[in-house]
Amino acid sequence: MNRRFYYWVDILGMKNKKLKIGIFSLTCCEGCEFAILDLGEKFLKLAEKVDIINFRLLEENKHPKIEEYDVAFVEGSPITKENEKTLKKIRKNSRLLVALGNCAAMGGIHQIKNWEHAAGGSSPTNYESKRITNKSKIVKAVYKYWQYVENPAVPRLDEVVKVDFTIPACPISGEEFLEIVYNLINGKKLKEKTNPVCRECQTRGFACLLQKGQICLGPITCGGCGAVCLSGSQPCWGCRGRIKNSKGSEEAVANLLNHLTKNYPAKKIEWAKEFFGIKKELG
Amino acid sequence: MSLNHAKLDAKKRESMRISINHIAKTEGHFSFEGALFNGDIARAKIITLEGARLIEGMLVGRPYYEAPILTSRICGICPIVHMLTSIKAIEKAFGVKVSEQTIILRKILENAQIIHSHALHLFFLSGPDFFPPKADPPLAENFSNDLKFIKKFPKETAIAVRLRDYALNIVKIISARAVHNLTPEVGGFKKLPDKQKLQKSLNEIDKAIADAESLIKFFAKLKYPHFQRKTNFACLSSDLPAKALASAEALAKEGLAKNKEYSIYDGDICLTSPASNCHSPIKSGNPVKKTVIPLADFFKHFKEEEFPKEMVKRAKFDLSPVALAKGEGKVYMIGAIARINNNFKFLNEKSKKAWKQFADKPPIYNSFYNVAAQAVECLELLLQIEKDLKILIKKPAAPAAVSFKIKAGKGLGAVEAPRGTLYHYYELDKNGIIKKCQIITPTAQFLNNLEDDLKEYLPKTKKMSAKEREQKLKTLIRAYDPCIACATH
Repeated sequence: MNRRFYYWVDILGMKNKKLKIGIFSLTCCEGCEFAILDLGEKFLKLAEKVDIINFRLLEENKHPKIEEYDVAFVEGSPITKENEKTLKKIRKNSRLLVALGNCAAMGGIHQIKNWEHAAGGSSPTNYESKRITNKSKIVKAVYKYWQYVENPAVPRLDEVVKVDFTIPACPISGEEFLEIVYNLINGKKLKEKTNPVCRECQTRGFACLLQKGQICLGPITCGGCGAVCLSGSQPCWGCRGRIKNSKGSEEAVANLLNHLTKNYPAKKIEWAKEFFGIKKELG
Repeated sequence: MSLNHAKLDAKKRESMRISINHIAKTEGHFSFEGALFNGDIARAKIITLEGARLIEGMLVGRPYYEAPILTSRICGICPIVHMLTSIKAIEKAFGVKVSEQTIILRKILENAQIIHSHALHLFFLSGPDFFPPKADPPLAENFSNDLKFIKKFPKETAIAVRLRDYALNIVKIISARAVHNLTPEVGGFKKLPDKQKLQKSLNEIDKAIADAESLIKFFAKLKYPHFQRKTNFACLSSDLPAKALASAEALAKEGLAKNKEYSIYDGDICLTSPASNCHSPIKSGNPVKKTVIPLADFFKHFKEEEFPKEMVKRAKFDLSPVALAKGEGKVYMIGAIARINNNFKFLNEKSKKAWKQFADKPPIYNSFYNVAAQAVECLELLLQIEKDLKILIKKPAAPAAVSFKIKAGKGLGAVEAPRGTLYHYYELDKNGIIKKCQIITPTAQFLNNLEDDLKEYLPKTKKMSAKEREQKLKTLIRAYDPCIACATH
């Protein structure tokens, strides 16, 4: 997070006007928008406190091009050229741009195709890179007329525009979204979570899947989700990104990777790391 | 006249062009383009604008257990049905027989998924369209923003939100999260739900049923545009295929046919077509020709079509596999209206009665009534949930999942999604690595039918103002509840 961000949080909080909010979706499942809608009554209450001026799931109005947003929330991946244009336009018209969810923050499941599995290892393909990768095989497996399909290596939002804040996870937690919007309304500083999922899992007393012999990235993934996957006995695959900037985080990452490498086939570890894109952050 | 002249002439005569960009209040991005020639010959095209995510291709070379988790992320509103359909397909490929407890839990989960999707679509996405724009002040215009619509109908909003919350709560109890569910897996569940929480939901179901009934009353009061077009309907059904029917008596004696109900989680494919020719008047209760195709024969009768620059592979069917292979497939309709038309006799008496508030006995050929069918399904599926919860709570708990052997195989799975039948097909190698994946979504199946409806409906709008015409066309499109995110995947 940067100084410009805090500057705007201060300004926004000081204004006595309602915050103007836009919620946008690029190519994705729109699950993060539904996580917001699923708040039900709580969402309707929030809608009274802010001006939601663009949320296409809820309204029909077309908006004048020069409309300005205090905060734009953007979910999904800029897969098409049109997506990329929209994203740049949103950036231009917004004071703060918040990446909403795992696709926007880390490329989401869409970036699985960015990895190539040649010769046992896998290496990241550079966004911009023209190397023939797995993704060209993938598009041919799906479409007969593949040459008409836009098939870029899927970027994160911050590889295309400047992103001020990130709400991670696939999908986001509606409650976390609420907390952040209320903090913005009140001009409170936003904090990124630094504790790992593992701690939240232990606090809640869920069974440790790592001990049970499954690949779980909970020890090296940012918390804030309440270890929701573990509550359903689904191991953590790192959709909130890797822990960083906290004491001992480097060591924790090294330890876990060491443990996994000793106990599991390399391919299986890579699959888990690739699924939500934490692999890129692990280097 | 040469062909070129004819084309030029057609261009001159073209009296009206209609295009609607980025139709809001649906899932995914798409536009409509239409034209009327001489006021009666119409052209209508849905242009999808969603980027291709290549989910089917991504799964190739990856392990089977990722398929339910990855495919559920095709859609944020119907993740459960993708998850369950992919699980069923893989179980078919491995030859896994799951426990009765697993089947009941999955049925409850899928029914709850349909209810919360319907409640959202009915009240927030499609409902506001049905308020006549002639009212003063013009309502439809005012309600283009749902937050305003909500203020006008606080009581009904509370009911719709409550019904949605009730279903979402069941989803959370069984699958640990509302969007992108966690517990279902090949073989059963990763974790069983808390029975006490389910008991609590059961205790509150009467109120949810009353809410569904109020919602039906509210939607029965709306004005549905006069419009009819004969078409074919397809959905899963408890009706038996002809081959099995030959020994239906034997089956009945064995008690195999006793669990017949309005199909959502399982069934063979029931297809109905108008029995009379297309020019005879449409009356309620018109005879239909019914064919039940065994699920295993799906690929013989259904086919996806590909065109350059089209990211959605639209599906067609034909009873004759030979005709289908030649590209002569027929257009068909699926979803709530197809299920009500094909499976009306399997509805609970209460739901049958509720349908009478909208129309007489099916078949009904007016696609605007898909909204009515969704309202009635909310009630029907709650009644099914009530029945299933009672059975589940009484039963002693069985293991969460059965163990199975990974082996090479092929499998097709089908489940009714809110918008129609969803099909997943997988080919797996001996290590459980996916070799092929094919997903046929509801919207990809009904887009052709939607365009045919729009072509037929367009001439009826020629006397309307441009604004009213656009509103009416959007009403028809949204009544289908299209999900372009699913269709493109």
